Amino acid sequence: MAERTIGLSVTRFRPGEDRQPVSQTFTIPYHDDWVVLDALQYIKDRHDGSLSFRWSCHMGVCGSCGMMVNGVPKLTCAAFLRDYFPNEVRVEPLANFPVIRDLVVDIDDFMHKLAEVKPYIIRDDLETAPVGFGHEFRQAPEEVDDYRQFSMCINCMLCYSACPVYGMEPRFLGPAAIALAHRYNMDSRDQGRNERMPVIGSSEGIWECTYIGECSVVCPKNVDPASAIQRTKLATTNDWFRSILMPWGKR
Amino acid sequence: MATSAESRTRAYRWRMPVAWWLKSTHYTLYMVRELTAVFGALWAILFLAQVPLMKADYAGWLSQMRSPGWVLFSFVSLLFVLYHVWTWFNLMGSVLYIRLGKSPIPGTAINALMFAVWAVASIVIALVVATPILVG
Ligand code: SF4
Ligand code: FES
Repeated sequence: MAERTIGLSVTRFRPGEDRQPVSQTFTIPYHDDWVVLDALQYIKDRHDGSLSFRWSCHMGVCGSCGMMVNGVPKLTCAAFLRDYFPNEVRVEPLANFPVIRDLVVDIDDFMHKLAEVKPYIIRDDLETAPVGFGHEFRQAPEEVDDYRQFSMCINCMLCYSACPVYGMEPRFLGPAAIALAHRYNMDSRDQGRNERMPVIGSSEGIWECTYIGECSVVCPKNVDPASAIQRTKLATTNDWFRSILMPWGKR
Repeated sequence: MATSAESRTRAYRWRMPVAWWLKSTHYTLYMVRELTAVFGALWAILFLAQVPLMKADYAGWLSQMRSPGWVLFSFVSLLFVLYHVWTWFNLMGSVLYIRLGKSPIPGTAINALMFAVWAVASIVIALVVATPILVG
């Protein structure tokens, strides 16, 4: 039996040489247990060693292999060729990000935004609390449930690439950064909410979001960033009412 | 090796296509949802604008309300508003996080509650407000 093959049309862009990305088609053997990332690796090994793309874990954990597969943001290590076969598969760099080379995008913007929301536990008493034993902040299982879903984020940025608001306004803090801020705000051990709020509540923060909801559709970890954003809107609105009605009260 | 600043200036800047909202059904439905708000608001403004006429010339106002154009516009607006309400209530389950004791209320239950409250309110309005007018 003749070997079955599949076509992959892959975006190529050489900085300094190409004015804009072009697509190049490769025909490779088809295996129904291959994912798109395997196909790219095959092309790199057998056809063109200069093809550039990012990956690391090959198991949906590191979040570095995100690309557009047939126009939809996907982890390429989790996108099986069999879901597209026998049709050609179009692989492009993640939308909404500047393309550095081929399928590699510039993620600096997201990295800065992530740092801005302080995604770690903030305590007033860290300095004074005794170090070592006893230096622990206890949490009940139901308190973990309050934020568990939002802690599953692997920073793959598929949500940014699905978000038209981010596409039009790159200053928007974006789905994952807000979801992570929400994750720490909901953590019973954390006291940093007031430090995060100026960034989250700014005009480039939650209020840019018009609830298109595609971030939650494409998220491979069911983080549901859209829900985190809407919950944060509700929480800030409550804060505002409380500050009007009870100006003497402090959170 | 290019530095990160260098590679950034040489990077290809992606631009959002104008017709982005036609790229997927989700995006298109989102645009429709946003448009429904325009119809809702427009209907309310036009209705309010006719209130002075109702006071001055009730019969004239009634016939205006019954004109085919207004009836059609109202019907279309109603469909849009119903769609808007549908999307809004379905959103509530993911917005409201209420933990009763150890477990949070499921989003689907919250959504269902919204629709139930809506149904009850509609029935009450139909009985208390509309029926006396229709029956005379
Ligand atoms: S929220 Fe989901 S889609 Fe966005 S970066 Fe995190 S894991 Fe990826
Ligand atoms: S390679 Fe790590 S998530 Fe795909």
